[in-house]
Amino acid sequence: VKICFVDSSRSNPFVRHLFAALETELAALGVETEHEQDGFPRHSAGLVYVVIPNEYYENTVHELHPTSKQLRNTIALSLAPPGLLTAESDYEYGRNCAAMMDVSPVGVVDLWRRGVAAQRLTLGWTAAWDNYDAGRERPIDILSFNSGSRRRELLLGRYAEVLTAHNARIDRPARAHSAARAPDWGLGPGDFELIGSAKLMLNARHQSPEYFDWLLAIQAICSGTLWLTEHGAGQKPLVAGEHFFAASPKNLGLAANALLRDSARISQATTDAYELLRSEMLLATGAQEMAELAELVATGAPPRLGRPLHRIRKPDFTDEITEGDLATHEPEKLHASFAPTVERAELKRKALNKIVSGRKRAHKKAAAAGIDPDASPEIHRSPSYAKAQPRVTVCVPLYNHAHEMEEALASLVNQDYKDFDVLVQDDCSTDNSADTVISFSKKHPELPLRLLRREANAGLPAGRNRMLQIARGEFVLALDADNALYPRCISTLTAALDDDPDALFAYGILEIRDHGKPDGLLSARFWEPEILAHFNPFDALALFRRERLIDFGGYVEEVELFGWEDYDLYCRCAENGEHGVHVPQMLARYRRGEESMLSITNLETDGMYARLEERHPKLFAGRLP
Amino acid sequence: VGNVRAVSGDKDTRAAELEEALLECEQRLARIGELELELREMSLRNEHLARRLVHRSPLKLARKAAGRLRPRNRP
Repeated sequence: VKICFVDSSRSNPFVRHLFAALETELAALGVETEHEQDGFPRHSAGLVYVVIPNEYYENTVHELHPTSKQLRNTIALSLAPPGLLTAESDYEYGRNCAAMMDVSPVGVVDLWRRGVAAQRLTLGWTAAWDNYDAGRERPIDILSFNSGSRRRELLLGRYAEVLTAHNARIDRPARAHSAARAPDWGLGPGDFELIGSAKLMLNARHQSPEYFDWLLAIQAICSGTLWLTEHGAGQKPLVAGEHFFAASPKNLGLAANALLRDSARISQATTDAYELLRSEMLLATGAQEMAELAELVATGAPPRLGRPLHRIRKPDFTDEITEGDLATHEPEKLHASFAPTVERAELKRKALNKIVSGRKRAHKKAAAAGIDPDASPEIHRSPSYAKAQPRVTVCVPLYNHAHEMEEALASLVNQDYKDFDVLVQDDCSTDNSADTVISFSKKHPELPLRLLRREANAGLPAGRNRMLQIARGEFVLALDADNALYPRCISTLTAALDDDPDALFAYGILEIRDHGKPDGLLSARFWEPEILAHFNPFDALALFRRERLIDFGGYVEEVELFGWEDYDLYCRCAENGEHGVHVPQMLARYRRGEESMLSITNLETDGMYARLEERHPKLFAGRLP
Repeated sequence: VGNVRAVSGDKDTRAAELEEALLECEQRLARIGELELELREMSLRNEHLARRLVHRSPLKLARKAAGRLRPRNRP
């Protein structure tokens, strides 16, 4: 028998990675193997193909699909958790193959239920994956290393308290953020180094609650990293509490906290898991299983089951976020979400008109009273402000956020980096926002703070641009009055900009709070300019190089782009080949509420996209430098 | 946890104890889940065996010959 591994050049890197490891183990057993990309080689006697259906079929054109004769000599291998679209694809294509293998017992049981006599392929230790070093330095406490998904982000948002108390990274495999399809566990070899530098790997799932993510778990164990995952099944011979730890989705954060308190337990569990893998779970066993099945396929006697046992319920692919456990508070929006676009556009036009006419009135009134409406005189300065020679200036535009402002300022006092000052520009608030700032500053004279107040409201981008001009720091941090920073924010972003002298800005991940409840993450993606032609995943909160930002033209003040001045700025960055550094850590909190200006912005966005496209034709035509 | 913290003298110690207890409970839950899967796997195999027996019954063969086969083992 000769086994031919077939994959696509567009497959996830883990496919090649896994196939290479299996080929090595099969060679050790004396089985001849070969590897073919983008096409099944002509069939000859004794040749058996191995393919991961969803990775192959979804990435190749019809002409490259196997013939029925080739299918009769093919073993389909599935690594997808039952219930996911990828698993459905594996089943649909795999059931027409001679035989199927699945890396998880849960997958095997599911395929049996559907009438496919699938066999288990044991994944386990192999020399190529061994990155174990018990004595190595592990600077990262918690590592979340999966592709992004709404469910994951919701869960990670819930663990904010724990994630920000430790050195936690919310990272993604290198390929997952740039590919159109984001796989669950698509690791490339370069990612192992990162896994190996973490004490604990926290696995919140994309979907399917009942599964054990064997490939990632093995790679964590082979790196001496503790595997902490959501509850699953099919993890034998690993035992929860001895070789890895499991917890309910809502308790994963607390479990990580408890585990990190006891480093001896972590080291015991990782050592035990690694030793168990080396003694009982070897990829060589999987290779043996594959070779035996290939033998049966080649002789025309693969195992069969016949019809499915039960009537198969069609899997439900609706996003799991609606499940009771994760149900989030749905805020009362300004509009019904199904209202026709025209109505929403009209609503938005009226809201914007109201804002613009309000500004005009305020300007006239100020001018009539003999005051320069564009002036923004200083109304308060803390005693420490004059002495400070800051490297960073935190610029906070303020408009009617008296309640939230105190929290934002308190978060600045708690920073572990002290080389900064704060510039607040009150944009003619109608509440007591300015008084709140003054009384806070009096309570905290050590915070270098300067408060300006405009005589007439001019809008957020105008405020930001004005502050850019008068800021004293080499870097400016754009902080909105209703957001707050975690203690490491400024130090981490400053270090990131220092590490990358070419970057225009650095940004971290924000935890979203919707009416006080966790609601996922923002800015959790790498700087990926192409994505801006579709949506803006980056929040305005970022640390910029001040002078370069001024040369770059600052923020756009057009009323058509009300609320999207940061989106426009990022589009300009993309078009001009500028880039930002992504820090994969939760560094700030973003508040979403009814009073947020984005409630008006997001009423209708078609017109805004059209305007952005006009301003940034290269980006929207996919012709970036 | 919030309530217990409120009545406890040393909040941090109490919180740590509770987190520890929670972790232990979660591990038990995980082991129960594993047993559940084993049970399911076993019943599935039994069902397959039973089905094979039905498949070979003379009555069924007779029905098949008469063209009146109904899949009786399906719910």
